[in-house]
Amino acid sequence: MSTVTRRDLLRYGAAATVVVSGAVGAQALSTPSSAAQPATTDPRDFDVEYRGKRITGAHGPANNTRVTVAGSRTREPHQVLIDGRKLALMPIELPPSAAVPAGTIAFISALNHYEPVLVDDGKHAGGLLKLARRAVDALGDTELTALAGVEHDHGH
Amino acid sequence: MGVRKSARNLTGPEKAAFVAAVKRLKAQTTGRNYDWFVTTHMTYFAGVNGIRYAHQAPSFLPWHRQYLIEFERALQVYDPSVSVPYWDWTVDRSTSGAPFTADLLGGNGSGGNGPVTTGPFAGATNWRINVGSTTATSLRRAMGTNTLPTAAQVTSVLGVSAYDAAPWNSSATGGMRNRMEGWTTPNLHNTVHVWVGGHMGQQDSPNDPAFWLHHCNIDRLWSQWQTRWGFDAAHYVPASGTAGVVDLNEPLQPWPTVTPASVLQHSSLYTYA
Repeated sequence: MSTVTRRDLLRYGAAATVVVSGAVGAQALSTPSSAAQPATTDPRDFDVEYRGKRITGAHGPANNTRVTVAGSRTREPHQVLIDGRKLALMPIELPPSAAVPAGTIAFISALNHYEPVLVDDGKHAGGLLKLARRAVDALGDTELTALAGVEHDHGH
Repeated sequence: MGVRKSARNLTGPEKAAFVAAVKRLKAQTTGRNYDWFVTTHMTYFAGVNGIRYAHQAPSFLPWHRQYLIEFERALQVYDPSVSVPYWDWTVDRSTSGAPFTADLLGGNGSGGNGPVTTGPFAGATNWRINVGSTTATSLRRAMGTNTLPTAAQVTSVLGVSAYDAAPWNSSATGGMRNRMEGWTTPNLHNTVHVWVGGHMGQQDSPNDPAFWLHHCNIDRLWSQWQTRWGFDAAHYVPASGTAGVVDLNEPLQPWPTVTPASVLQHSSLYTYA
């Protein structure tokens, strides 16, 4: 069970030991290890039902949601599962504007690929949930495939 | 040399020929078939070996120009008379008008985000999704959740004289390219993907044949920008020495002999009507 991470426990709670034997468990075990992170719960994390699907979100460290140099990150900071299936996220550095300072990172997903969503600790604290709900809206009566969970090299 | 026409101006036989060629490429079981194009776009959307080719980079326009050329050539194997049509979304702004008619692309998804039910690409028997981010086996659209770009917005983008600017990514504000691609305002290209919705909003967006008509229009707009400001090599940047992006004379993978410089001129291959 050493590969079941804080995030997996967050997602599945006490049921983790049961679900690892099934398909959902396989998905959980394939997610990247976050063992290096402190064992604290981010108040923005969620595990809720939306339009008949279970959406689960775990936030990366706050200092990973904004960087000043686009090349400084090599992994995605946040994780989203829909009905236990991974939705890959990609960081998009936004242009500086009156609304956001230089170096602000927003996120697109495999499903909402042309519409970045801000995720931060302040005004956009609910951004990851918004992103997950948009993906469910796009899914309708379908589910994610393995292709939707493939992480990308962002050219950094 | 082919002439790429507006979808609204295609004759019935021209529409039928385009649809038939697209379907034959989809049915092709070997080589660079339709699903190869879907996979290739997905692969090159993000960086490959540390270089951004297709998106969030200066080579957004030349990469998609070559991608369209390759797609058009693949169709012409089946019907040499076929050229990719373009969708001028500043003029055709309806979910049921050109190009979303039953004799070309078909219309909206049912119930807002369900399967397309009209036209030659409706249903998994006519058009099966093989490489997708969802378990949907047929084409889906969810049209009109935002507003299509306007002619005034296109004019404003074409009036920006600088091709692109540092830092050469989604945060660049100093050039035409990112306004056209849409990570900065007024956002032309991204907005249209979102407007069509369904598969067009996903990483596997070329599953919707509307992709080609949209990108044909983006290429046409770049050509109009080149007509105004210059088709020469000085009107692509960066020229050299910039890590992580495709400089003027560097290869546009997955076409190792093609460079931004080699696709600046397109009139020997196709023109726009």
